[in-house]
Amino acid sequence: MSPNTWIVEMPAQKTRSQPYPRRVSPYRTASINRDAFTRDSTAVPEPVPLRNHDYPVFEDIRTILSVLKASGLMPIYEQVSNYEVGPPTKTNEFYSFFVRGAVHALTIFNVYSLFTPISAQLFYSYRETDNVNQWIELLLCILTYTLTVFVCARNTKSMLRIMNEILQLDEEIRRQFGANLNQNFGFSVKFLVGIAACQTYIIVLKIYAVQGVITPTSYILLAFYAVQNGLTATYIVFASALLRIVYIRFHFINELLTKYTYGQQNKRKGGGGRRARGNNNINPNAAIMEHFPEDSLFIYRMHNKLLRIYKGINDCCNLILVSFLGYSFYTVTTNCYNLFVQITAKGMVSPNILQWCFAWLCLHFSLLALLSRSCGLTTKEANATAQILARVYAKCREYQNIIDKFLTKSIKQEVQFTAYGFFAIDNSTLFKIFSAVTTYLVILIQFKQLEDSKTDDPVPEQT
Amino acid sequence: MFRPSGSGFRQKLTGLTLKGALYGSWILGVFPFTYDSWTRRLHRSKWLIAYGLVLNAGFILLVVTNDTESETPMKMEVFHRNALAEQINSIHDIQFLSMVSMMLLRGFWKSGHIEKILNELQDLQYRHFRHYSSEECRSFDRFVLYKGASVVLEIISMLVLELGMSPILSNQFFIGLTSLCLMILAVLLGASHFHLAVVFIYRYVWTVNRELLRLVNQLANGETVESERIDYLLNLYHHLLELSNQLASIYDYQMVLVMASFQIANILAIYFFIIYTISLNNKLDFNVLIFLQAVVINIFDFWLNIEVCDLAERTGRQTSSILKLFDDIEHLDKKIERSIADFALFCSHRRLRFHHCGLFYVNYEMGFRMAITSFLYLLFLLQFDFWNL
Repeated sequence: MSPNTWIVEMPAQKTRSQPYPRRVSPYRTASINRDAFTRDSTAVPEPVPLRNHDYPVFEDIRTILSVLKASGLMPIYEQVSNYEVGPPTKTNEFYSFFVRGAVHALTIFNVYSLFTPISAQLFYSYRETDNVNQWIELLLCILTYTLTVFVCARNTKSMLRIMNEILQLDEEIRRQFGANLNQNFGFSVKFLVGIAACQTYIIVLKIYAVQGVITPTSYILLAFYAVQNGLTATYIVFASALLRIVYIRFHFINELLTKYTYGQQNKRKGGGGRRARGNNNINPNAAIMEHFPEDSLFIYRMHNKLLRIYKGINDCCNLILVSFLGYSFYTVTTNCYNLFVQITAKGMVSPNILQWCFAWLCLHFSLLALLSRSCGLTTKEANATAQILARVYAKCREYQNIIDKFLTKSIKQEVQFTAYGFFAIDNSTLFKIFSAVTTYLVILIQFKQLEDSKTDDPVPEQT
Repeated sequence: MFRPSGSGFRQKLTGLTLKGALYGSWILGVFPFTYDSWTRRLHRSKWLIAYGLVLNAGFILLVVTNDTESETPMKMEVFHRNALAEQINSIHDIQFLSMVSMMLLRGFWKSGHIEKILNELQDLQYRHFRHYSSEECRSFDRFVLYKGASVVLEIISMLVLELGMSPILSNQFFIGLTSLCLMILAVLLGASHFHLAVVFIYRYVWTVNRELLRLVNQLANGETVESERIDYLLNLYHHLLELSNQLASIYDYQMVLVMASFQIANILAIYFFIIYTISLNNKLDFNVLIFLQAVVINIFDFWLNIEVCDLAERTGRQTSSILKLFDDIEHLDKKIERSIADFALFCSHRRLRFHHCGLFYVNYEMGFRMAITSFLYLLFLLQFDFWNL
């Protein structure tokens, strides 16, 4: 079922956890020349002294993690040290298990009520097609969320492994360069608030739209629907945040490499030349360039590890992403269709439905944009390493074979973030979704016209 | 080759499935080779080809002459409502029969090449891969078992479909049904030969990957590795790629035809289902259930065809990512470095992919596109139906 990566499949995994025992950090003491990293390098110039256990990991995405932990989608892990997280304790594990069980029980109840007339009061419309659409939408939402819960439960261990790998990588970077790769993940909190507001608004709209007294079952159905939608969206934001984390790491090593590129080196040379006029023996270039072999080894290793993390994240989320994209596509299509119907209907424009459609469209568009942007950025950055190295190639003859080593293995080896191998998720995905939405919109409108023409002049029954 | 790769239950079951496929193909005449255990080679046998031709031509004739299928009440109801459905159905019948005959004929025609490929695979197994344990290769066992299960399920679902929907149980019907089942079994077994060959190639590539990974680990632990071992693995890899290309070029028409007819059958089945249940307002009953299980099994089998090629392709890509691990090893020997660069260049320019008839690569991406396209066709068909109302 799971697309097997070589990491999972290969038996030599045990030996790979400690693959390079000989490599000890060469730059334990921060030297003046190690300022290759521009971003945040002033924030933490030296390795922070180990204050065991009181420096929480993944501080940047704390809010979103706590939401996911509370809803049982993420394991409530224990922090072993500053650079390691351990499996959850028995109580916490039981809690997650319990939450997931409750979710599945509610799901079964909801599906049951969807197939029986209990929920009929939620579906009111002028046409049969609209109700069917809404019904399918609800079913898809339930399906997506259930799948998310299942996949998350199954991937608990690999999620922890990915987190540990990220932390290990951070530790190594900090040891080597004294750089702290934290960044402000304000967008995740903003998105959380936005999702919550949007869902509340939608529920309020729905409650106003329903005629008559609302039964408790309908309330439960609606509330759970909102929670499901919200949590699925939160998970997508989380995946984007994880990708952003990987992006920052990729960006860091790319920045490191950029320092060695021809253009940068030339600038340095020019600046250095002016400063050291009259003293031609000192070439500031050489001092930098001679670190290249060691740095390149480090960078190659980091790149491999990052690719592994990137693939790990992809394997963890790809089923969820496929179902979310499907659901999102369906929702966008039906809402566009509803908008079209509302606008073209003569006379009776319902503000309630208009607002409802707009709220949905906003929510899904922003989520899709966030997801495709994060994926696109990370993919671009991961593929940029080879391009930057190619620019270093022109600079120095003596290290060309080191660069060759990397470049030969990167020919035609573009990495991609895929939705279960079905299609690559990057900025082009947005365009593809738009074009697909247009196609299906046309088909839906054709159906509507057929339906209308039939009600206008009924064809006699065929005999 | 057909020996179980280990002593576990799964491996034994896999061996049994492989043997079942072999003997089944022999009996139905789609595997016209004899095995010489002394030289460990397969030989093409003219007698077996003639036997297969006569037998399968007989099946096709029996199916055509004893066709009672189209008179079932459910179908009549659907066709009565929608004339288009009837036309498409007859097109599908013709396509199916021509697919069967084309597939078998091409199989016999190309049997010389198939013989060569199978002998080479056996040679590889005996000379090179015999020494490597493949017990941990779970995907291999899984895919062999899936294929076996899918063939059995297809036949069962076919029987259930025909027996459940047909009210008249005459002699003619039984003759037609038996020959239909045997004909489909022959086709499925023929298609499964390609599947099994791909799975075997996958296992060999997997073994090469594992050896490479072992070499990386040795190097990382400071042990020395001879460059000849990498060259040897590259040689094997090259050989495997060559074989996979030949295999794809021999089986391309057959696989395209089989996949196309599966796809058409799926679209049609869902279309009939929608007409029957929604447009004709029939309640969900036993007939519909029979119908649905056939669709589900059909989709499963179709997807299996895609999945196995994707699996092999992914394994081929893993080779490249494993080679990247050699990057960050310090003080690598010049010779080893050159061998690895050779390997990497080879991998980047030639990949393990299955290209059918120059039309498409078989992988998940193509599968997804096919699914989307079939969904669109289904919608168009439904519009026609809607129009007819």
